Amino acid sequence: MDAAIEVRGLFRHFGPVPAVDGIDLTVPRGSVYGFLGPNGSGKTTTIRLMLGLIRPERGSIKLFGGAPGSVDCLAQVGAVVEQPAFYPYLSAHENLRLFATLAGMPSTTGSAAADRALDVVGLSAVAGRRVDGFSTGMSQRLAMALALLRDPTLVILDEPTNGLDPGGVVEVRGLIAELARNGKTVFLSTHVLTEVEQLCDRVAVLQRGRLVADGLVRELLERGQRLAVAFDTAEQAEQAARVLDEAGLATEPVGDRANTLMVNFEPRSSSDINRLLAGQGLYPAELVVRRASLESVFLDLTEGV
Amino acid sequence: MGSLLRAEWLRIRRRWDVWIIVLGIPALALLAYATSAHSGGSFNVQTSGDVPPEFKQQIAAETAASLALNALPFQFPHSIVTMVQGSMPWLVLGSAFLSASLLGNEFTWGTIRNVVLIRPDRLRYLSTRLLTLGGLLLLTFGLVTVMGALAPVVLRVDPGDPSALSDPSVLGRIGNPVQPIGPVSPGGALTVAGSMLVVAVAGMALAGFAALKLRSAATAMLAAGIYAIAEGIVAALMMSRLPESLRFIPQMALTVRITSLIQDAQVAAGLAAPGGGPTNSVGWLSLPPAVGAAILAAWVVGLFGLWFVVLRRADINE
Repeated sequence: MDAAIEVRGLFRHFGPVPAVDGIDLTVPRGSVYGFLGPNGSGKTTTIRLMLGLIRPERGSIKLFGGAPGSVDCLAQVGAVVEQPAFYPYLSAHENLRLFATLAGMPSTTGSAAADRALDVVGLSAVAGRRVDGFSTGMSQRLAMALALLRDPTLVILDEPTNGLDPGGVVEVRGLIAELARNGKTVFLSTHVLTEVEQLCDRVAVLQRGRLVADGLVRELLERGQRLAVAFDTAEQAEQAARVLDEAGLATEPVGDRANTLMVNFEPRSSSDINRLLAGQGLYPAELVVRRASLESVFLDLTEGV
Repeated sequence: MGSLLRAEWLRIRRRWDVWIIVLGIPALALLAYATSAHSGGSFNVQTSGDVPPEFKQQIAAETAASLALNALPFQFPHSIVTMVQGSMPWLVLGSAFLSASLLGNEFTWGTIRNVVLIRPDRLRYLSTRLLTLGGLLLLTFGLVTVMGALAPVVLRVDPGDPSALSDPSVLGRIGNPVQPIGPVSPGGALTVAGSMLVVAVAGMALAGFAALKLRSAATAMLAAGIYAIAEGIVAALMMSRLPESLRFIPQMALTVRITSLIQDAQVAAGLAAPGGGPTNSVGWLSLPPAVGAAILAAWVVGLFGLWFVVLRRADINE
């Protein structure tokens, strides 16, 4: 797999607590990779390590095969890390132009790149305004503009919709989808689960500095799915529960519906269950795969770890 | 390096605090100079009743000598020393503030993160910032020096009769008895002015180190100020308490070296007599000027070196 980001055995602690504890990650090129975790789980520290802002105590990181924090790697990377940070006495355009100059762009190219980036995030109308008068949402958009200034191949976004109003959230999500359509790799750290469900094809879940899940979003959701098996009578449901229990499959009743069971059927398929029950003369009236929400999967993964 | 310097210009050109310092310090120095020059050209002796003729003669000689003495600081090239000396506290504070502000605010605003992500070569970035600070300090100092050189043309103070200063009847009766009285050479004036520039550079180095270490302009200024005061007190205490064989230790202190450097420069320029100034302090051991200057140079180079060590190793958590 051609990786944009490759992380192996990453470890970094602050004080006595490890902030990042042995993380392994592979982010394929062209993917939209969700990075989920509750507050304080180590998402931002991992991103800082990836970008070379802080150094790991152990482990290795490669961005496009190169060292993090190297000129060649960072030239391909645009990043929004936590709170937006700009020179408050400069306008939005002046800030971007300054960073374009710092990136080595000639004056006219830098100015054009700043115009383009501001247009993409919808800040063209306020390009000449000092950023100390910007709202949180505007600053967040400006941070996105800075991340896109150099037309990066990899965009690392740490909570990019923080502080945005609903309209802004939709716009930023649209922007991320657009980046993905254009073949960019997006590494999206968030705790907004719907964002991951809507935008990402792969996801990693972090809890207390450790990776507790990593894979395709579809696979993760499948891990949490269950089978609702309904019978004509409650007696049949009780017999089916015993049969499934003997087969090592966990079941539980569904609220006040005594004739229905929920079966945690992974790794078997629904037809396996059907076959097993039919073999015992139990014919379900209905078999429905209940897809888990990312929220429930996330809570299952992060609670009690 | 070119793009880094252009970025520095974009960064500072709209910072009013930078320009207030760069232009405000020469303005303050000029104001102080003009005020002193206004009173420098006058000297009155009031007498009552009949004055015996021999006293009248003595009074006339002393008045002429005092007029010439008061006018001396406003004659070229002494006027350079006067102007730079007038700006000295502002120059040191201003250079320390510039350094703390331009370095510390990058952390306060969090912009250091963007800078490092776009230009990951931290040492080159810091070198450019050092160049910028040096340029701003040189611009300020240059303005003050040029104003000092031109001031005698614009704010003319009658030099009186310089020969009155060598009148045997006034020797030891006017001015500071231990301080030579006479015109200073251009080289001497630039030596004294240069020593003050070095002091400003030392202030810049100390405040910049504090800003990089503490990641805040305001805290850095406070810390650098407290350090300078505390070091001065401890050094003075050590000089009076330590046995003579160990008195070289407080002589190494930054604040002691700064005071000595100015004193040594004034002595070299003929503006102060050896043995005056801080050398009057209890327990003072005079070091040869070259040794003192070398210790101060080590301080400044060491502090600037620490800038690079601190930033190179720093985790950017902003």
